[in-house]
Amino acid sequence: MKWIIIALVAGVALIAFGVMATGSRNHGGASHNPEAVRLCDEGTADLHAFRLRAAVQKLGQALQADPALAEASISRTLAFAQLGERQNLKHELARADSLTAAVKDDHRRLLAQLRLGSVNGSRYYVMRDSVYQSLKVTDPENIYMLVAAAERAELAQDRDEVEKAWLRILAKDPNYANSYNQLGYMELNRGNYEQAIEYMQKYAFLAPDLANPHDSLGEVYMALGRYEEAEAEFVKSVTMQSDFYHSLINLGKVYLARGELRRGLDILEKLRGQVAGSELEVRVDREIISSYLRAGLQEELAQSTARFVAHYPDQDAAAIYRAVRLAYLGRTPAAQAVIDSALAAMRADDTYKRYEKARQGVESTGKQFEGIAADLAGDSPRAAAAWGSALRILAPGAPRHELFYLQYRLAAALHAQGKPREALAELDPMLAINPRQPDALLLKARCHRELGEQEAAIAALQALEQALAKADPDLPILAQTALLRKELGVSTPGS
Amino acid sequence: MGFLTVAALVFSGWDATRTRPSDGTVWLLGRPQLEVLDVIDRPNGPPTPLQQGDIIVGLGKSIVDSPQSAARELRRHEPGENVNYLIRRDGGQITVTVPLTSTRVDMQDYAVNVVLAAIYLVIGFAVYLRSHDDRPAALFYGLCLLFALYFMTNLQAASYFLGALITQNLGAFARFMLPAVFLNFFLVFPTKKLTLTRHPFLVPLLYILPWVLYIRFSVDQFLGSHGARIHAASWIVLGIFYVCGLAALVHGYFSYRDPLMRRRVRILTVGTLGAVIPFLIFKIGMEELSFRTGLTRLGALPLAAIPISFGYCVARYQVLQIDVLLKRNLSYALLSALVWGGFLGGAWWLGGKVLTVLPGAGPLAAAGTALAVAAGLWPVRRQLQRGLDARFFSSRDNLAVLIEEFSKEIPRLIQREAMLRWVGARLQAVLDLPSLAVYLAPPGGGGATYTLAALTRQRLTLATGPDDDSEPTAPRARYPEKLSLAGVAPQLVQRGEPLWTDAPGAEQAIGRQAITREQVELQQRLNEQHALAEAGIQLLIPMVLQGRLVGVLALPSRPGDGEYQLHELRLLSIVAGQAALQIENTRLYAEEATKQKLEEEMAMARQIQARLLPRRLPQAAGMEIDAINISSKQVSGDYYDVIEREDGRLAIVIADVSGKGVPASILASNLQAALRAQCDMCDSPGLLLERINRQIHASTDPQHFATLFLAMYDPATRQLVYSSGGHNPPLIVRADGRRELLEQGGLPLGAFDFGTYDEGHATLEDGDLLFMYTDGVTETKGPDGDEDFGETRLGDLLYSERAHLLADIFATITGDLRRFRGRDDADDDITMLGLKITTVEAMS
Repeated sequence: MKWIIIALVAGVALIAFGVMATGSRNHGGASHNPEAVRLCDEGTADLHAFRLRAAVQKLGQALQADPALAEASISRTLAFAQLGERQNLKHELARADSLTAAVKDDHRRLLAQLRLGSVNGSRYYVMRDSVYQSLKVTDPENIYMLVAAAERAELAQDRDEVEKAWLRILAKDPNYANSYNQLGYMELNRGNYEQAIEYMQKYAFLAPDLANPHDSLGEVYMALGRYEEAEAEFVKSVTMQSDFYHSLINLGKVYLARGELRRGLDILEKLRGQVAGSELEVRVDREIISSYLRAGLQEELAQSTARFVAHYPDQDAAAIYRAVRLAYLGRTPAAQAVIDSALAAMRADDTYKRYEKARQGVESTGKQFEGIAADLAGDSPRAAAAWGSALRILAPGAPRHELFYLQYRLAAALHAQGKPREALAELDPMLAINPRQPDALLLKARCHRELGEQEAAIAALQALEQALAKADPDLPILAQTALLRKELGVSTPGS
Repeated sequence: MGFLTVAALVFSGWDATRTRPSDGTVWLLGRPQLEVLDVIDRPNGPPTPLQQGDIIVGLGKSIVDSPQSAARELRRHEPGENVNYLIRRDGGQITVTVPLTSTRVDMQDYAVNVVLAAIYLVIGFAVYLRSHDDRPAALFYGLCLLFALYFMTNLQAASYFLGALITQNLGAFARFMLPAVFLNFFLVFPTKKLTLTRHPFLVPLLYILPWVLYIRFSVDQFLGSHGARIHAASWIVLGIFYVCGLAALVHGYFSYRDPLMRRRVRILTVGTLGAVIPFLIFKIGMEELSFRTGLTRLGALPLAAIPISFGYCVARYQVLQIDVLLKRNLSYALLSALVWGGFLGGAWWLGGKVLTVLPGAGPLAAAGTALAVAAGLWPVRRQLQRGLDARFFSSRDNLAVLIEEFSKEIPRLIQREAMLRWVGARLQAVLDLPSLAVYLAPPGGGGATYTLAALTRQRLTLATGPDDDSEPTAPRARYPEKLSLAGVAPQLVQRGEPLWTDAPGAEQAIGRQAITREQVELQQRLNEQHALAEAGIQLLIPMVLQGRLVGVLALPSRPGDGEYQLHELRLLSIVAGQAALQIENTRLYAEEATKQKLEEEMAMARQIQARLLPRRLPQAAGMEIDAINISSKQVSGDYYDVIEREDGRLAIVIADVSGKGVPASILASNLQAALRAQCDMCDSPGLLLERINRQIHASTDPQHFATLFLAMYDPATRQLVYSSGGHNPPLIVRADGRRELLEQGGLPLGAFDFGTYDEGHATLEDGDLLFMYTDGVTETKGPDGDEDFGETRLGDLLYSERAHLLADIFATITGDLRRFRGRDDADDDITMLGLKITTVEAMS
């Protein structure tokens, strides 16, 4: 009898323990179906990892099992928002808003409101700041609070706080994919390319079916001149999401960077047709213009800028292109007047006053135009000064790979001044990061030749030829390369 | 320890047979990142593309930063799946696809190991249950547990999972500890080696190295720089332990002069050698040191020979004192299995039923329910098993009852012979013995010849053979009146175990003429065993008490194949011990009774003597008379008296009767009666003593006699007439210091029926002292027992003290006597009687 009583008591205790340990998870005071909670957790984890389709599916199952589970609806709303499925987003948002209002637990409701507050269209969008401030006191380390903090720091352009927030998010959830994306770009902008690649790789690993990580990774590879790897990532990205135009633009840029001008422009032109009328069309046009400018194709440049000015007369860039076009046509005073007028308008804009980056951009543009004008006038000292100024203005906030063009133009001006050594001092650092820049390599070879450094010149020439191995045969730089080869007395390959 | 090991075994088995995905890598718990420390062979799958030094960053669909997160992610996949791994290698990150295999061990190999582990467990537990307080048995038990643990874990490969890590560590513990326990066991089995007795610190020393190696392995496993493996040096050390263990075993085997012991250990030796040598060659030598795989079975299978050889010896010779397991029949095993199956099945079924009423219960709740139901059914299972045990092992159940019966009855039987007769008859009845004899040691304990003290009636016992032919097959035992056990007695005392007499002849055992003392002793023992066997005595059960062989129970051979079972031997040993104790008790009882009787007699004698002595002595002017009697523990029969005669003279008597106690007192009483009756009728002391001598001689045995001094003193004339019957001559110490001995007289009274007694005369003057005493005064011994107090010391003392009162003189003498013997109590009665002549003035 004694044993039976002991056994029964032990059994009841064990059962109670088991039920407590494995039973329904309590989401803030309300009991929910454990299966629904499990699916919600898994779906939310997929959402964090940018496995958006899987997230939508699991969260839908969670809501089927427990239609009142607000967290599942909120996560599903966010997944639809990320996917850009507006119709689904609208329906799910309505449900999430309702379920959130019905959440009795204050803390849980605030968190739900915080998450929904990030979605434009939610009834909580307008109260997101007050919700954030409330939770900042009670639960500042919650992952959603950290995400909100990162977004706020981003808006305030407080890079340090942004980075801290994303790192804290990762410490809480190593599978929060967007952290890797954000941190990767931060490292890229700092010039920590390898670190950036690691972050982007993790991002791509977490979301293998998402185009964005591959596009991000491709961008880093492209900055480093690893064009083949970049091409592969962009192709992956486009394959996964055929309307991921960023990757198409980047793919075109890869071809252009390798000298495959026709192939690159073909992609960009086709893309331009696809995105006609959208905001992307402007970007595509700008990329096309930029490509012509870098390739030295004056005629195509003139046509494309004329077209840009005609199509987008109100764009700031239109005035700049107009001024550049006038400068190339030899109408320097008119060009100067146009650029001055455009710069004055930009300086009057509120953005210029508020943001340092905007100010840097405007002032650098002015210097760049000055550099182009001086180059066209053959005034290389002035050009060098202008390009140097433009470079110095942008350098503090801009990624190094984004300054390569300015740096090259500065080196070219220095070379024109008869300062090959100084020109090399500008060229070598940029080639150390991306050793496959044809203009820079050609200039480097010339500098070495002029300095009598034959071997270095030949080495630069060979690097140039390797960089242009896939280039279009009629690319102007190829003719210059051949000429330089002759000057260096190097036999033509295969002869 | 057993339960813990079983729990570890169950866990290891469960863990090893689980189908879990493996990527073929080994990691360490203590590492901050998931570094691939080792890549293990995957015989049942393609090689892993992961390399040593890779750092796993992502796995499947997750970024992983700890073994736990990796294991969690890996559990989402199945063996056979290809899973993407994001790894850091050569400074960069790459993604590789890893085909997953299963961590489950090869079931065919594992089944062999499980069977081996089960054999070890069964034998180990059997040993433990029967002899858990025996050192070799405890070590053998530990050895079996470690072997079982080794078998259950040695095929388990490392993986991400904590369970595998624990199993690996348990396996390593078994590997490191096994050799030490193995060596320790053979150092104490079957008998403790002399080296270990001389150097007891060797035992803890044995375990230090394995512990150090194990701790090092564990540290490697948690904090090391590569996958934890038992290094070659460690294997070599462990191998040396094994070799030493084998050497101890072989040495033990060859050092046995006793052929019976050799026979017992031979199978064990062969079995152990046959098991461990292949293990050393194939497992340690070739597989672990030469990295040749596929030799597991060759190394492991022979290890079964150890428990099998032990099992055989247990069954055949009851080595380690455990019961014959083989005699448990199949029915019992099947019915026990049925009980257990019913219990587990019932628990499972009822647990399932309970779970159906608990919606959403998780695995922990299920486990808890199953445990609770199992606990509830446990008493039922226990009762069923008890019933089964009682049915199949009634003799064992009866054993407890019988022991209780003997424990109650034996102490009640205070007559030794009756007790032995009852014990013999009862043992014969309960064990169904043809006969039984009890031999006891000689009363003083000396000598090695034991006398037949009890013998049961020879009973005809029928043996039931295979052909069911009922016929007496055992020869009748012939129990000699005397048994010489000089040779076997030391062994019986030393081991306290039953001795089988079925030894070969001495010549056959020794093979040559005994030369050394050891050989002579062995020859003597074997001869005695041979003689016992010839007499039909198969078994001797020693009756040992306080290191002495009090006696033996001698048992004959049983008819047919009826060997003595362990529980019977236990009963016999227990009863023999109780009987030995009771024999001692009966002896002590007899002694106590005698002592009590003596004390009663002494009390009576003391009473008689007290009545004999005058309570008050006559006093007269001009003289002082005083006496003192100090009785010893053994009343010796001293007597004194002063009788007032009708003519005014005083008859002064002092006597010492031979012997002690009541007889002496009676004789003294007779003396007093005779003296008192005849004192007035005879004026001559010599004549009076002559008469009394004849009377005493006629009424007592010749060996009883008395010494007596009789004096007639006339206070008016101060004339003293005396005669002595062999008594210590009294002393007259004159006032001026001269001493005179009163020696006239004859033989002691009662010794002979003839003889005359001369008379002496003396005249006492003022200040003279007449001092009479018994031999208790002068024969008082010094502390060393060599020297008597003597007449000279007494005379000197009287001389120096003569001027004092008699009471003071007696006190001085008594004090001197006490100081002389060095203790308070005297060995003999002390009696002093004095007469001192005083003037009237002095008296006043």
